[in-house]
Amino acid sequence: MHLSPMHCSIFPNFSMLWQSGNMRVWHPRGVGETEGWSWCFVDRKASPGHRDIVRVHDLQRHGTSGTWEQDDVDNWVQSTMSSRGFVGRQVMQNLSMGINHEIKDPKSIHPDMRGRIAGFQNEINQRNLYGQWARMMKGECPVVPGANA
Amino acid sequence: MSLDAMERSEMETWFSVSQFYAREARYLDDLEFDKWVGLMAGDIRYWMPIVSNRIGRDVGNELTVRGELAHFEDNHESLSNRVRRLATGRAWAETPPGRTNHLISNVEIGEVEGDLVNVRSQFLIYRSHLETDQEIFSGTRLDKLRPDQSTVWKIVDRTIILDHAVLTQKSLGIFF
Repeated sequence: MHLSPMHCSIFPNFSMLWQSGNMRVWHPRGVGETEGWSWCFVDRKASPGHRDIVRVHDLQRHGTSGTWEQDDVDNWVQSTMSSRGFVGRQVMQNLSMGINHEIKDPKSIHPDMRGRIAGFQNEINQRNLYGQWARMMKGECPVVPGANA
Repeated sequence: MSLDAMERSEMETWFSVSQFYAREARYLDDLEFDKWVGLMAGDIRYWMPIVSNRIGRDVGNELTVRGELAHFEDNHESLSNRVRRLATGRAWAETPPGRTNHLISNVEIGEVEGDLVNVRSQFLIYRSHLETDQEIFSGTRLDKLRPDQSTVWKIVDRTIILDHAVLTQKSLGIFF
């Protein structure tokens, strides 16, 4: 379970790093500020030893002192700051990474797979975040694959 | 000076530990991380629980316990790996490194348990980074120290209790 690298999000503010057992809730705190809450999940059937390995692995990489997390947060802070400049404000955000490489049928990957998926290097999460938000701002019903009447 | 903690007077111990802490802080502020790891015992437990806000009957449960999540949960190997990571030059959050000032104060020598001395200290760490990023960390360190022939003391167990619930600092890329 923890070998498959996958980063996913559920609208509006929940994300997961599957490979680390990490899940997040994002709380907007105003313009340019977001508070992140971070948890670790483990397989219910995992042994206590396995759970501990996953827990420590997650907190050492994606916790507040995380060897991966430190650099990610620094990037987010700096890219937020740089988007506030005169030139930055005039540039449309490009979220097209992998736009032609989305996977049409999630169940071709796994029978339990849901949602919209793509290969790992892809901004599909970001495109669908804004896409769903835009639909709701227009007063449309949220599109939930397999659940809409 | 005798290395037997029991024979030493409290004042001698306090002085020795305070000097040790000043040296440890200097290693961190001068980015001498290899020397800093050299002050950790091979069986070091380095732990910083998460602090939350509690009210009413829940007051007293602010800190996560061992086995739950934490800001830091490290042993000698993982601390050494953190230091090796910093040395690669590819630890981007610390490239360039921040400028820190570890102020250690309120050193209190506690009980002696066998060859270990319990020590409590308070810290205020100032850090500036890049052009104008500034942050301050405040908290308490609860240490168990063991006398050592080469480094005077080694840190066997460190619990760091931050005075922060939500971290407004960018990350915890420094050592405490």
